[in-house]
Amino acid sequence: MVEFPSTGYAASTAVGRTGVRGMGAQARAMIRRFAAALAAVLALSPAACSSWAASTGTAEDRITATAHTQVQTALLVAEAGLEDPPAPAVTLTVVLDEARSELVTAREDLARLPGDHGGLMTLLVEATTLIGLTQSAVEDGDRFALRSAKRSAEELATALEGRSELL
Amino acid sequence: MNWIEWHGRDRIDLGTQLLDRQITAPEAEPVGKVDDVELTRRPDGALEVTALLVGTSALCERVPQPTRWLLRLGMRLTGGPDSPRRIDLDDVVDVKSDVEVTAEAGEAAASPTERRFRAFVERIPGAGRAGS
Amino acid sequence: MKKYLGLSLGILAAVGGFLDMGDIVTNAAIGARYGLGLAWVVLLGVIGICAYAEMSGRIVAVAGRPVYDLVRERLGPRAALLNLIASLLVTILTLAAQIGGVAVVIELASGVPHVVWVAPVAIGLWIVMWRVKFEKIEQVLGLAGLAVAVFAVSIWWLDPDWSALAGQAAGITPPAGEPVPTYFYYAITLFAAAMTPYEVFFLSSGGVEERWSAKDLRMQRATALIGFPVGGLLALSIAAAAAVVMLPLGMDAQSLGQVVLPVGLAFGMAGMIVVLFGFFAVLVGAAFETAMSCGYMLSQYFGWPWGKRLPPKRAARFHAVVAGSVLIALLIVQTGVDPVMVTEVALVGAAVALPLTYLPVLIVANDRQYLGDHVNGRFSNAVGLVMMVVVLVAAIAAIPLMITTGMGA
Repeated sequence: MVEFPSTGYAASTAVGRTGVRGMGAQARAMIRRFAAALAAVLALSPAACSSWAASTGTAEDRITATAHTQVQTALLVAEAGLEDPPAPAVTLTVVLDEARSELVTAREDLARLPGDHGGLMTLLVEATTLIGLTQSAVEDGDRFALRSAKRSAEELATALEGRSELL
Repeated sequence: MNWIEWHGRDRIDLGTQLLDRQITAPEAEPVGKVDDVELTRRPDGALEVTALLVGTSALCERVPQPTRWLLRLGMRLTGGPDSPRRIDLDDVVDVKSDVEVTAEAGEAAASPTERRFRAFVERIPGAGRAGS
Repeated sequence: MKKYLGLSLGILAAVGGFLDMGDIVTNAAIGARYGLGLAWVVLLGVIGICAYAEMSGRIVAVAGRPVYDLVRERLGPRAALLNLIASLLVTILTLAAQIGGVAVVIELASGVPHVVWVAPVAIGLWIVMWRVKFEKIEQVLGLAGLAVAVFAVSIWWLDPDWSALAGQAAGITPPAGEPVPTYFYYAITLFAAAMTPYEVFFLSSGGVEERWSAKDLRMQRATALIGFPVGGLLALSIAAAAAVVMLPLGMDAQSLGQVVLPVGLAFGMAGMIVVLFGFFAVLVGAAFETAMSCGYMLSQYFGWPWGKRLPPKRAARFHAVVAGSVLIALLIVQTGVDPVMVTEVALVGAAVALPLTYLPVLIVANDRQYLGDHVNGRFSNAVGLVMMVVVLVAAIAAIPLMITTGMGA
């Protein structure tokens, strides 16, 4: 009697023959049909893609969009702070902290861009100031200051929208 | 052993109905996978399946590089490699979607790696309580 | 009576179990950007997860085989091992995203930075998994997760322009002026969030844990077919809230803090407390499911003893893998990487790994040797095959779209 310690051979032929094991002829035919459909889709997509520009604007546009989002966040935070009873100040403060750090990154990115971006940089600085004002208004529960923060946010958002076609 | 009918089947496809199936002892206790089978040459020249082989080192023989290298690395990192355990075909009780073996055979084929891990896990408080 | 209680608890668990960090992040992002313009993708994803959850649940109830047994039996040891590595990486990333999400939720409630909370969250998660009963974790977290329904109530309270919302939901093409590749990139992440592979690993292994048998078939079917669609509705309500509040402002929703703002606008203090509680429950639940899934996958590939139904010391390698996955996830989040970023990478990975997970389920659901008379009918096969095509297209397109769109920038 000779012992074969391994049946690697037997097993691999079984797998090799059926591809995926134990698939019925019907299922295989279906999969073949779908593979054909898939190939058609793939063949068509590059043709379609060429007309799809992945247009995300210039680097300055993207920075403008980031700043815009943070300003609108401050606007929503001010509104939530004006609710009665207002949304928790802890939560709103954390949201504004995130907005501030996004703005800091945006300012660094803008400073690295070649060319003159003085106008946008002024708006970014104003946005950062706005975040600070909103934050202290939220912490004090100062409804008057919250209303004025909301108005400045609206103005700043409009100014940013005027600078980019994306917005 | 009667090869005309084995656990309700007159023939069994090694590749799709035996290899890589779960082996369980009574009470659905998992023992391992059918990682390989032991073939013996009979006097008349035909090959006969005489045992199921359990253990990652048995599985290693069936996969190409670099999968094999990866499995070896895994075994070495967990204190192995251990030689495969053998479950005699006579200890197979039933073949369904899993392969059921006798309690003794299941016990004998228990994994040394599991034993090594158990020695460690046992020390965590609550390790011995009943399952939920 | 007890049966109906079990059924309703199961449905609630499925509702909560559908939602995770991926669903929350993607639904808020697309809501702010496209309104309800991608609602059709959520619908598609829910149909897909229902179809495959029903099949894998049936296979467990009748044959007792969880999904990863099938993956190895049908794909063979080599392809299954490649799938195992990919799925394990994706699931650990998904787990890291949930742990990070829980930490951010605690930050939003406490004001203390989330990196401080990562280790306590991971350790707490492990203790719960080690000590508490499977069904209890599922039901408590599932029930608590329903608090996320506060998004749906907020939409009603904010009194939006319903016809505009309906108009967005009816469209299945990108809105004018939006780049097409970005639209489809978001569609794929949204789809992957609904169909994340860990959901079927967990559901089928959970069926073994809860000892389903053929007589539970109707119950498990009802659970999946009611629970997942309701979960999908909750996900859509997050998108709709973002659509109502953020879309008109032209802003993006990129962090959990922004996601909860609409609820704060509608209900102030009370709303915030409810939504943070709901997110906490949903994310801890998803962390539980993903961590357990790591253990399930590896154990089922190698045939180890696994699951919470065994005394922990008798499933030593399983518990070691679960604990190890939590540890790796902890280290990933502890680097300070943004949990939202981790979520997006995990979703793209999930999209790529989907076909090799779902194909074996579809094949075995047609195999009489496993299922006898309970094999797929024409309807299940039709839905299963159509979804398989969608899954394949998503898998092929995911990485090219991620690169060309710069992750949807």
